[in-house]
Amino acid sequence: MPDKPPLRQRIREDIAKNRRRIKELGPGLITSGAGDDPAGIVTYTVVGATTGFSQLWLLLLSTPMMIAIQSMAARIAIVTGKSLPEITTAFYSKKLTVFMVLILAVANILTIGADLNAMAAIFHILFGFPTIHWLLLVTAFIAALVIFGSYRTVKKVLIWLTAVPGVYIVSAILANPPVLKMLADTFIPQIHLQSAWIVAALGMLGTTISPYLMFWQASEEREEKTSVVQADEANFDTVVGMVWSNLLAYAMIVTGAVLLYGTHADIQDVRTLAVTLRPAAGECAFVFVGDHRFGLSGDSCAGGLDGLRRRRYFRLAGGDG
Amino acid sequence: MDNLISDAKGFYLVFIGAIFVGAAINLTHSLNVVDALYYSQVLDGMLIPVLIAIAWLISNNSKIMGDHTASRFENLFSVLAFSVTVTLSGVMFGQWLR
Repeated sequence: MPDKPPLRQRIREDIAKNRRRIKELGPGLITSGAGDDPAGIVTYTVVGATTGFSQLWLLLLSTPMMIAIQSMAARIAIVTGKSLPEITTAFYSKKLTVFMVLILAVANILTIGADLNAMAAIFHILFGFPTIHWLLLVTAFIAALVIFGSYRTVKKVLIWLTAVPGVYIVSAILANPPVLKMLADTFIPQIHLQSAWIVAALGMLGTTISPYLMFWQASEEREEKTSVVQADEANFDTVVGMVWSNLLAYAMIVTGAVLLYGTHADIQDVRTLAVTLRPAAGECAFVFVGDHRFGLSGDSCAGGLDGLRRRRYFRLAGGDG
Repeated sequence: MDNLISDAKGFYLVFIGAIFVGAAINLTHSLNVVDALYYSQVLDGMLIPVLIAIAWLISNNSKIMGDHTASRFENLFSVLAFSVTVTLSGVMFGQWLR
């Protein structure tokens, strides 16, 4: 290697340069809600089925949390032009970076693994053939999309897919929930101490403020860094995207609560979950859920993107070792 | 995405790990599809506070962020999200140990 200033110093200089640049252009935020992946859909439905309306207030409260966290992550990416691992390495310690990346890797691997498995299970139900074959096929397809597809294509697909779950809103309305009780539970907080309730609350917050969204956001900022949008306008986009995604979550919890809460239905497989779409889709519900999940594999791409982000860390680790 | 693939080690590791997890869920029959999805999100909920804390630290570090440190709104709700998820995790572990 020729003489280069140490890595940390280089990153700090880059960040200073980037900050001067945005002083001229103004910070922009380019963001969009990633929508709900199979894990999200299942989690919200199970939350509704196990806790009824009693966590709607927490979902409402999670919206500003999500907006605050996402906009912090987005601004870090814009101001520094660096990924989180690069920043933590340059300004804090490598130990912190390794710790953070490990946590993200565990969360991602489990979420993506469960997502892939769910998609494969649906293909198995729809078309036969062993699930494991579908698992390999689905994974290869998504990996190919992430590696070879351009960022714009993937983003277009993601935007289109975020509109599809709108069917859950129709389903929630047709399920005919008790509106007054629903509104009361939305605005009046209540806390239950049963362990099922606590676990459901963690799952709901986990899927709403998904850890990999933070990194996905960062990679998105970087990819589109050349087009700096006015902050206000873009902030508005972020907020709209996240409010939409939480509105969908609200609809999923409500349908889960109305149709499954108290029925003691054992939610063992995706067929049970199709019940929640029956009001909107009738007997086609199952096919909907099938398509839907397949479609929402887009979110696993988000996870993949995140992997792409992370690989920068691996390079860092290798280069600076 | 339009970057070099050659250094995509992390990306491949995550995907290979995900395939193994998917296959393990599928082959062991110890977890059904729905449970696997659900508990992966519960785990995410337990890991989130660490990531929120890191993002919060960076956002409030003026050496990194210059004039663009976190707003009052961002501080309030990120700290709230941190406290709620930490508390829930704590209560959950407490219930397990009892």
